[in-house]
Amino acid sequence: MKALFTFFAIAAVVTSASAQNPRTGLPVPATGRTNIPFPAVRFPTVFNPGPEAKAPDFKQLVATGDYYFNQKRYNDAIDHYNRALELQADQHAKDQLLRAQALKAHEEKEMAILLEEERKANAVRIPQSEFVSKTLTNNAWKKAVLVCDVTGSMDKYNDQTLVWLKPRIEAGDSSIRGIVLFNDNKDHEINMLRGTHSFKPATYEEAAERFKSARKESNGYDVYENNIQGLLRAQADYPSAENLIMIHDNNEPWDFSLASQVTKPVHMLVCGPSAALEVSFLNLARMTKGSVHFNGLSYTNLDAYTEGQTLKVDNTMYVVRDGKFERMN
Amino acid sequence: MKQLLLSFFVFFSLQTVYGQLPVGAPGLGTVVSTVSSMGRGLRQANEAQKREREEEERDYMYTNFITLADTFYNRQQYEKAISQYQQALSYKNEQYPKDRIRLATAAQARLDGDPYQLAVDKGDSLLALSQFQPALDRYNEALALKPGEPYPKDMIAKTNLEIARWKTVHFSGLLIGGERVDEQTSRAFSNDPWSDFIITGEYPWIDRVLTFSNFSQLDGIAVPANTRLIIYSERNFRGATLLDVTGPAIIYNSASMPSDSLFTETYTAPLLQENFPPEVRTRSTSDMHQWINGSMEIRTVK
Repeated sequence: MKALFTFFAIAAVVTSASAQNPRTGLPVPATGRTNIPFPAVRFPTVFNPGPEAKAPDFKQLVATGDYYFNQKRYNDAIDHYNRALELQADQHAKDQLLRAQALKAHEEKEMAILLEEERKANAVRIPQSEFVSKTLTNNAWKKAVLVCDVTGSMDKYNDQTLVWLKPRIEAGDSSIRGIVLFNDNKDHEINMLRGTHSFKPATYEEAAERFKSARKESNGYDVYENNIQGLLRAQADYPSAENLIMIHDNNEPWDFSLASQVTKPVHMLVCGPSAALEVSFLNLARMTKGSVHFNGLSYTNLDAYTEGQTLKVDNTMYVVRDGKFERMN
Repeated sequence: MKQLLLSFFVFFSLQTVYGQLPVGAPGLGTVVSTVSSMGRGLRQANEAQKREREEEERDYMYTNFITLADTFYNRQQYEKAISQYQQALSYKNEQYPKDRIRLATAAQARLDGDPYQLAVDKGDSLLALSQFQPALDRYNEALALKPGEPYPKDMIAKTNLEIARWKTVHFSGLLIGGERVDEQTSRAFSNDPWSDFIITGEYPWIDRVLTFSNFSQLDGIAVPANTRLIIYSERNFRGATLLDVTGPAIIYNSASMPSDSLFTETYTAPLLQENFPPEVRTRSTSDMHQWINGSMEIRTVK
């Protein structure tokens, strides 16, 4: 007995060294539950008497399947209808299962088509280094006026415009009726004659010089660009023109309220890759039956988009609401 | 004394194994919480047993009341049946007694000659016969008698949906007949998981328009009266014209070898039989499975 007593006494002393003190050493409960000091293990029959979780019955499975179906989570819906049908034959569950399978297949097919369209679009995407010159070459707009933004951010694109213009000016090409240059306007003052320059170049050197001198008037206030005043000037100075080609950056024009006065089709070459195309350019193209060319791709027939129809430009979605494009994301 | 000390050491040396109590200073709080947690466990176990007993009792009472109510219902003693179903509902909130109360109320009203119930019944009969406009009239009559009732409103919406469906072209992944037989035939202009109903318009690529009928494979088309359907072999309205038909017409996929009985059967629904007699049922000139690669126009003809 003595030996047993000694053994337990020693065992108690030795093991107590590694024991946790509930007052100081217990781990902080992470779940918010009260830490139960004893026993450390919950005995399931006595201390956890709660009923075990029941497997969902047929009705629950169908109801959950319907919920997922309405949420367009077809995989989950299919799973639940299948499980329900294992329990009981039912016409509704069977029909819904078939519908969910069909809709899932349709969604997958649509996704594949969209990916293929995107792949094809990317294959014909024009690099920024040739964006202006190639777009102008690919779209032979007749009786057109070039309306060019000459603010600082546009320098490399205006170089492309001049390169494209050179052989046409030298050959006496009459498809370009004139050129209007516009820059920015820190006063927000509507004055077509102050912020814009209109001319019909006789030589390439003259055109280059006019671009250079107009560029010097730029204030560097990129967000106050006179896009619409430039278009109105082109419309007024060259009434025989049938198309207006605007080459500009992706800033919202501050004078967009004047856009309703533009009556000729406007074809916009929106320069510089950007996170999202400014929606007012889509609306201007829609209003005038023109087109938008952005990040190497072309968007035409925008006036044919009906209410609720969507347009994807790069990663941005636009939808027609109340007759106008609105950005969705 | 020695035995007391021994049991004391045995107890606390074992606790150190769990690592939950200190050997030297258990403290009164620890002892109290230990005892109370055991007590809580026992109480919870007791409550769970009680809940189980109550549930069994509820099941028993519910089943008894339902059995009794069904007996009254079958004997056409509807008022008594309703009262018993209500008792059953007080034990369990299930759909079955609710449905039966609605049926019993309607049956009682029918016995009493209630004009609302008679109008609803007439509307239901007419709708079953696909006589949409008369059915609409009866439901509107019922709604005028009891404006708060949801049933006639639901049925008006359903009838309008049926009328709208009859202005579309019905495409099915099954052959189209007078009755729905799963995996074999779709009933013309009835919704099922193999059918698409397409409105007037121009569709440059059929495959993108059809969802359910081409999930299996397109095998049947029903064109209503005053509607023209033109199908082209290629996208964007190019290629050969595979079909140019003005309704009423039912077209079966010849490649699926439809049985002769489909061309001669008399449809039980009068509306279907009137619109699609055997003379307007034809076979396609080519395999309809390939048609989804083409385009189509659906026009209204006056």
